[in-house]
Formats: sequence, C-alpha cells, structure tokens
Amino acid sequence: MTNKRGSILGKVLTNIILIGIVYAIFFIAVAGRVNGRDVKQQILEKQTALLIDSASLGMSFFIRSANINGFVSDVHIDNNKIFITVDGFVSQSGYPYFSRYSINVKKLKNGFLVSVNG
Amino acid sequence: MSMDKKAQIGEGVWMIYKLLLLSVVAFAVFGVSAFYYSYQINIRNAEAVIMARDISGCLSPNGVLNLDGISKRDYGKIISYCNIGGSQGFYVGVKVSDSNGQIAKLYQGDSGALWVRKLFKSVVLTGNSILDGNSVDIRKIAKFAPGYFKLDFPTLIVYNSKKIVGDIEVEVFVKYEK
Repeated sequence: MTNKRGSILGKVLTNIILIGIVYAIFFIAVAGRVNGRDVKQQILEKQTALLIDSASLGMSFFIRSANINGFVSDVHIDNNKIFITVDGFVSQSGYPYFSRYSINVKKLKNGFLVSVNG
Repeated sequence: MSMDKKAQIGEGVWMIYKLLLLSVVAFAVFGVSAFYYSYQINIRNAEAVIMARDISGCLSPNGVLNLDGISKRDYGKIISYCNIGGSQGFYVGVKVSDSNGQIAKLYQGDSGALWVRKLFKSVVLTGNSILDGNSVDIRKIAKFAPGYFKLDFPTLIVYNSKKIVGDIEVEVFVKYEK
C-alpha cells in the first residue's frame, strides 16, 4: 500500500515537472515575441546595414552596448551579413549589406566599433 | 510482477503521448502569437537609393562617363565592375543615351524580376489583387514589395573617342528576401 502511494506520487511529480518545463520554454518564447525583442533587433541590424551601405572609406561608427533598443551583447559580420544580438535575442539570419570596402567590427569596453577600410 | 511491468510501460507511453500533445498545442499557440506579433521593417527602397548613388558615382565621377574605358565584357557585370560586394538580390540597369537614343546598356542581376515591381505597382493603384474577381487586402502582400529607385541625370560621355552630351538612367531593383 505504501509502495503504491509512493509510486503514484513519483509519477505525478515527474508529470508535473515535465509539463512545467514545456510551459516554461513556451512562455519564455512567447514573452520574447510580445516584448518585441525581434523588432528591436531588426531596427538595429537594418540601421547598421544602411550605415555600412552608405559609408565612405575611412568612416567608422560606434554601437553602444547600453543601447536605446536594448542591451547589445554581440555584433559580428559573416559573409556580407551583419548579426546583432540584443537583450539575449540571437540573430539567426542577420541582414545583408553591400559595400565596396572591407568592414571590420571591434569589441570595445562599452560597445562595438564598426569601421570601413580599404 | 509481469502485470506491474506492463502497467508501468503503458504508463510511460501514456505520459509521452500527453507530453507530445501538450507540446503540439504549445507550439501551435506560439506559432499564432509569432505570426500576430511579427513585423517586418522594409528598408529596400533606401537600399535602392544608396545603390543607385554608388553606381552613378562609380560610372560618372565628376560628371563624365568614360564608356571607352569600360570593356564590353563588363557591360553585363556593372556592379562587379564597380567593386560592390554583397549585392545579391539587386538588379541594376544603366541606360546611356545621347540625342539620337540609347548607345549602351549596362546591367547586372535578374532583369526579369522587374515585372514583380509592375505587379505590386498595379495592385497598389487598383487596390485589387490581380486574381479575377477577388479583392485581396494589399497589406498582406505589401511586406513582400521590392525596393525600387530610378535616377536620371545628364552627363558628358566619352564614346568612340568623342565627347558627347548625353543622359544616364540608373534603375535599381531590390528583391524581397527573408
């Protein structure tokens, strides 16, 4: 009898924990959407891409980590695309830019320096 | 003992089924919320303007276009000729003409995509979809609208070792790409 109660309790607890994990993942994902983190990330990526598109040789611009659109934790360039991570929201596909110059990103103390070189 | 084992296995299978069902419902709700709250910012028109400016600056610096200095092989690779990298999804068309008409066409990209612009332009003007009979809310397809810009300006052209006054028309089209 004791064994039966113990085993039922164990099963119910396991059920609750697993369901709780699924709900937690679900609510975190939805909260990210509702808070517009993806829109803020889009704004930053596309603004930066336009700046790179229109930049001349020798120009550089600084992206503060403590940004109005959220905390920028990573900026990097890969295959002519700019990727910016905002408030922990990692960029999956980035945004493409075009330029006749080479673009470099350097991490500094308070942000990221994007420079346009020959 | 064997009955207990079967019951335990059945219990485990039932729990997996419940979790799968719960996950499917959770993802369906997430999918709907993602669709409802998603918003695409369209900067393709701005990109088209910048590209047109870059191409015109490359071809006609200081207001002189030296057509003799551009090899005929580069006529179909004008973006590459100007050393602009990362321009996938762009179509650039440059018409060079004098008082007698067009003397050269420089381009790069898929010119067939220009009909997509005509498609969207016609939908915006008429307010209706191109499908017979049915009126579709154009806001649903507006986010797919391509970017477009046309720049027209007079310039001095060096052609066949002669200097002539002519016109350059730069047309840039930016495809929607997710």
